[in-house]
Amino acid sequence: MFLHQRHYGGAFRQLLDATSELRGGMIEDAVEALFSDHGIRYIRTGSHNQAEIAARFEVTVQPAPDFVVFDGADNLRVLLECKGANDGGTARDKALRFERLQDESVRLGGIPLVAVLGGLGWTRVNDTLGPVVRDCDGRVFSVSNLQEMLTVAPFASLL
Amino acid sequence: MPSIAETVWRIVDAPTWDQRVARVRQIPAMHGTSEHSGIYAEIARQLYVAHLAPDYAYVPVEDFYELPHFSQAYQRAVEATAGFARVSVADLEAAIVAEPTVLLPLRVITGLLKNEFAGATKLVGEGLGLRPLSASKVDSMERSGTPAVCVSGDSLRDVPASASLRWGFPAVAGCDV
Repeated sequence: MFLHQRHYGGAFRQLLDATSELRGGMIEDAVEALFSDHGIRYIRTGSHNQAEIAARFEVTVQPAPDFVVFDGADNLRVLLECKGANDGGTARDKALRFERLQDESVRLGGIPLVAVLGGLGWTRVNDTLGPVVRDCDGRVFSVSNLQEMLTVAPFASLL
Repeated sequence: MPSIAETVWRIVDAPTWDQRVARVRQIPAMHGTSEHSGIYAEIARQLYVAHLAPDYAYVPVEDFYELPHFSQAYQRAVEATAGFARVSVADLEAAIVAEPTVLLPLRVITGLLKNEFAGATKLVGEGLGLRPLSASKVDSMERSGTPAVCVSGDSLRDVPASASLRWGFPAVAGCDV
């Protein structure tokens, strides 16, 4: 019976759906831990602080990227977006988000855009990962090599 | 003008991340637009795919979805309604106001998901002049017992009736309604 439930969804699928936000939050949690451990100033965005992000940093894209990083003078330095996708179709749809963020990055004068990706959906390179590499100028990371992000400008100067 | 292979090799061979970024940024200046997507895809394949990992192996354990939380809420609903014998508007309203987590067993009895239940309160509430519940409000009531400032037993009592609207949907071949 349990295998049949897996076949059509059932309790197993419901549990995965009910906790999808938590699984999605794993990438953001890893990024937040990295920033906290290294004293990098950041704001993890959510529905509660969209207006603050717009007023303080003039980031008007909606919704704001998952993280904004700023320096000691309160200047915006990085836009960072996390995205997980375990199938190629979802990844392709989510890749379009980076196009919008790239437009915002240009509008703001070239603020570096960073992607932190997870899930095998991104292994489809032609219409998913490739465009993200383009939009982020190669600043694309995953949880497994997140530490390397600190070596990329402007993070090194923010440590 | 470098070939596609040469450009990809220069980027893959960049000794630092900053140099990799600098070389990626040069692609539009060194190649026609028709070549861009192929170059980015090849860079993605060679430099980034290996770092990706699936996340479907993670099944978070959350107390909210475990049996003790539900059993406790269910027991409170049993007590507040005398074993589901007292289910008038006033009874349900008093039960929810006194202990918002009882909304959880009452909602699942209706067979509605959180979003569906919230949508149903809108349908019912409009006719009664009541503010609807949002899905997040339903969640916070069931999860942590956040006070139910705008719930009315009228809404809850009538939700099953609203849900039964589903039975009025026309039959579609291959689908249960």
